[in-house]
Amino acid sequence: MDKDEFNRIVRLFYDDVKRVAFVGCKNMFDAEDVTQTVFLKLFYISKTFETDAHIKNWLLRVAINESRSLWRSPWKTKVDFKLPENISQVRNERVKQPDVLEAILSLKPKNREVIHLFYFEEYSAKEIAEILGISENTVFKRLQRARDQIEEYILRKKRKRR
Amino acid sequence: MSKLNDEELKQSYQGIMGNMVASEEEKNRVIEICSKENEKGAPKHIGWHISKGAAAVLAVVCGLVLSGGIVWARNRFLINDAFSLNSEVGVEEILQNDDNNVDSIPIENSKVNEERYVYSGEEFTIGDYKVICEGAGYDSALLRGYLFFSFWDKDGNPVDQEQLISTSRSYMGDMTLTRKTMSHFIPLGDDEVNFTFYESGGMHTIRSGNCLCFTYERLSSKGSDPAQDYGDIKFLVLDKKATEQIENELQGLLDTELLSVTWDTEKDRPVHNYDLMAIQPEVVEILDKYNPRRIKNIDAAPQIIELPTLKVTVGRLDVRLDYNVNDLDIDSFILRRDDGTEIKFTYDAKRWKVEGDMYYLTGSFTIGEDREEVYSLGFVLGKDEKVTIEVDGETY
Repeated sequence: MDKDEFNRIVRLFYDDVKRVAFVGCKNMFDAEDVTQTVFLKLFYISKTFETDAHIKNWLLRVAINESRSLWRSPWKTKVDFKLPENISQVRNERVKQPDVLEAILSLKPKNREVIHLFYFEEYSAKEIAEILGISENTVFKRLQRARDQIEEYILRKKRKRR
Repeated sequence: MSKLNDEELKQSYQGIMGNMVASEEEKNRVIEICSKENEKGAPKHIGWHISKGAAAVLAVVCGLVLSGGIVWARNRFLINDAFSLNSEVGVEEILQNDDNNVDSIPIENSKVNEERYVYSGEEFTIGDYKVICEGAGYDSALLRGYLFFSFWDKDGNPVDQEQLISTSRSYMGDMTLTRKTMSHFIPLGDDEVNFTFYESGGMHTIRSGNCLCFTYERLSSKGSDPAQDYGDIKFLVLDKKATEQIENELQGLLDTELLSVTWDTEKDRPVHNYDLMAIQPEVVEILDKYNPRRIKNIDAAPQIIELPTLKVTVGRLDVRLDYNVNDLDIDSFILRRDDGTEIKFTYDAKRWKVEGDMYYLTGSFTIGEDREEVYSLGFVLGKDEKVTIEVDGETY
């Protein structure tokens, strides 16, 4: 890939890739590694992308796969996560539910991927289905299940605080 | 909050995650790393430039199946969602077809070492059960193929068709059922049927009459296009009694979200679903109890044997081989258990031939210009069991 074009893409999509990697890996160190790997793969891939959206979809898909690979390791099935402070302590007028990230990270990987793509990236179910290679119906099911679990998690946290 | 407000969820999540912004230094570092890699030259690759057609050729050539202790080259996939029943398409046509409008797939033979296709609508027999290839798909963007089959009992009643179809579209793995493998668990007829099943990303079950066959672990592997995600499948076939025992043992250990196994008394068949990614060692341990080798050392660290051109990781459930296809200078090696049983690997024409006593089958293959290959296979070790490795006659 042309160097200038590559630089442009890194600057344009780095944060998106890192976020989805973080959602997959649940820690910043692995997320950074995954992000770097993803862009290295982009650098070497002999693939023609038609649009930036196409590139972004590919990057997110690869980041998800790379993150999954980490978690599929038989000896990495149980890893505790700790939210980085600059993320966990974010409070602004938009954040009405501060436990939401923790709740999302407590979900199964496949559900958090869907939640992230839907709520952060604001992809449609159809687009998510294409990125993840699953049916739209499965996307809806995962979204619904994940929402229920997030709600339950947040409620449980609130009860604990009382 | 009595009910989670969707907009609130979105705003909160975006509000938090939006703060996750990398510094310019971090981005520059990645750019710099890539530039340096570029100066060093592109990584070695296996010698051909991949195109869709080449990928298909390689998929055909590189597809491996471990079956009955031997690896056969086999044909694989390339089709389209919009399949129609029973139309015949040749290999060349499939390979040349760039618009993916192909509706049959090359697949493992029905007789050993005899390559053939499976067509949509084609029927197979495994023991008393009929298996029908319902269709297949090929995703050109991700170079991903898949198949799905329906299973029917001897009375002609569908078994689990809905689940098979609904879950067969995620990233690809493959599972090979062979007569030999199946006969570990269930009595089979004389018909020898091998087929590949491209499976979804999640835990998957195939119910075959009153027997239950399920996959329970997938290992990562690499493909030439990282968006193309190959995986390895391990599977186990249980009878009704074992299924009920598993259900009993898992009671209270896991919530139903994670795994549920129930027996549908009306239909007299098991009903369960669970999530591969969420499978924890305790669950694997319970499932493993039904394996003849009774794996106990769930937390045992893998044995890693690093040779100059090959890294062998002997895990609890599998052996993983990491190597560069261009550098590998090993002709053969043997993994030998304490009890003397062994598996012999021979590397020839860029593929592994594997002979020996393996418990379950996994398949993993790499296509395209990827530098590294990862190959995994079932080689179950018992508690405290170790292996020695003999490479080209020398023991490590």
